[in-house]
Amino acid sequence: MHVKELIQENNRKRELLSKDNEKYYTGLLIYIRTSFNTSEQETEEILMEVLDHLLEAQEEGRTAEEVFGEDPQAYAREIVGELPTAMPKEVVKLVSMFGLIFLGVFAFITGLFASILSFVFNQGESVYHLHLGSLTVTAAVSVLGAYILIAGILRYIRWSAFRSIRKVKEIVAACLIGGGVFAIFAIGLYFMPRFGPPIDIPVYVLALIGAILYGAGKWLENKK
Amino acid sequence: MSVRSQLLKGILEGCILAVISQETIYGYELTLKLHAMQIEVSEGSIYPILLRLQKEKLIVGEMKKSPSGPNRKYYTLTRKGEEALDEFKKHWENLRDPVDHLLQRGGRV
Repeated sequence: MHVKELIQENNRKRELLSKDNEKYYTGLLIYIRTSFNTSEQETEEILMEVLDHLLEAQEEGRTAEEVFGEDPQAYAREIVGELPTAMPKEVVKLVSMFGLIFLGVFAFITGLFASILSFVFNQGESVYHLHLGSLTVTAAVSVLGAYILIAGILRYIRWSAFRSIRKVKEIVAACLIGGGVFAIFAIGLYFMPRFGPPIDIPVYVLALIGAILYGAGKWLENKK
Repeated sequence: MSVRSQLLKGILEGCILAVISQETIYGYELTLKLHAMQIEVSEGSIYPILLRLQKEKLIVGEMKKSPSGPNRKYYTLTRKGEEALDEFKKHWENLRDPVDHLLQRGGRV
């Protein structure tokens, strides 16, 4: 069974849980799924086993607390601690896929808007004057920044998986931190000196490059 | 981790290997088996242990259809797992008799 099938089956079976059991199990699921350095196949398999076990226990009138203990977070942590970490190959694939899709979408949208502006409304540049050196750094830093932001969001979700009350203060703080990180990256990139061999790219070519990058990312995603 | 829980963990792992060596079995069945043999273990605690035994390549899990229909992850012992079980048996026997002996004599050596 592949990961996608497991996830679909998991979604179907979760609907059979009682309200309390579902709450308990969902906490486990969020916590374990957001540990993104573990092998996805193994993660989904153990989640399925735990769910099957809980459904059997529910039939016999036992609750999730009785089966997995009073402290779901401790239990989830124990499971994550024993899960095999993802193979380096898997990690490389995930990061490059994420980078390609992210840059592709970014380049496509930027190129598309610039094309519309310059060809339809005669506004803005019709040719980008880029420098290969600083372009590479910008691309790498953008991907890294986006990755850090997403990792941060995942950590936050994980941290709040077992807390039913979410304060407004908390969300505001999370947004501020996220925004702050983003701003630091943006300002740094803005003031970076331009270097490397200059190239001129018509704006529509950028949209095309974006589409190609996105396609490559999608191809990686579907590659077994 | 305390010495006591380390000891119990090791014994529990040995027992789980022993059950799996007798038959291919899935998680829920395994807890029933252990309970039937009066080995008191909290149900949830077998899953981290099964993960660890898989990581150490002592057992392999395989998803397949169960006779009753749904997919289950069935566990079997590997050759390495059989060796580990033999070793556990030896250790257990070496330990059990002296400890029993000692305790029955009221701790006087």
